[in-house]
Amino acid sequence: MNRRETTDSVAGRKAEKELLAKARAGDQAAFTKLVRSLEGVVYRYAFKVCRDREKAEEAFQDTFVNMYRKLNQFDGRSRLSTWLYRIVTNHCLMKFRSEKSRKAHVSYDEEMVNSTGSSPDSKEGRSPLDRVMDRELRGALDDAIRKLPMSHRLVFVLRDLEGLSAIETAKALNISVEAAKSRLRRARASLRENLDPYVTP
Amino acid sequence: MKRKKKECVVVARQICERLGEDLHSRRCASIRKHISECEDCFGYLKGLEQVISLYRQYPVPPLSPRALGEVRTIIKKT
Repeated sequence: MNRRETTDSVAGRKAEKELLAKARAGDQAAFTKLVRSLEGVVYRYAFKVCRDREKAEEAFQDTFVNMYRKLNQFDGRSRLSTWLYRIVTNHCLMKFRSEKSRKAHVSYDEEMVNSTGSSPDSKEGRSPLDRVMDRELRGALDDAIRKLPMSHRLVFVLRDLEGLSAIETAKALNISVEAAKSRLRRARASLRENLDPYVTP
Repeated sequence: MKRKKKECVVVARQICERLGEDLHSRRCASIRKHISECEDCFGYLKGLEQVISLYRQYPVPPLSPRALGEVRTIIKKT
């Protein structure tokens, strides 16, 4: 971490603490600012874990409503985002357990077409998403990550996709650093093995 | 890496454990030396980096204004 990042990080934490204090005192505008600063982080994390837009939006809503209701319970020893990662995680785990037996899955493409009103390109038969990433590859990535135990999936998303440190990941998931490291190793090994046909030698 | 040598199995495990943390530290010098000399382990490392990169590139659909609006409505009512 260079000096500039450290300075930014310190300034960011100070601003966050000030907003938190105001929000706790009932300042709606301060709370809205906090939501705005973290809505992208929360939604993207929820989507990467759930692999489903509707579920991610539900987790997003649940997280901020819980944040609003339980703001006084946040002890401020970690970043607010770490606390929110934990709320999202708990929501996703609860949903995952209750829907474990359900196999029904709306494909990502259908969701995107329905939600954005976009349609497949008639000339090439390719949707806008296909141009971002091949449909077959997205399917393989989804399948491989769904094969992971949820506890491993959460660590992989936080460490390798969200860029949290092992310590931050352990805090967010309320597990030991050693457990976080062990789960990450297993997750990576499994994904590497399952996606072997999709990587170039 | 179909038939892994014992050493390669250990190195693959170390790659999965240490990538992004201390794979480039001095204490991992012997692992890096093995990777630089072993085509299979080099391929394994590059493959893992590609896998992580693919997940990072996976497009996240945009958050709908409805979802955001509902949060604000619930909070206002609370």
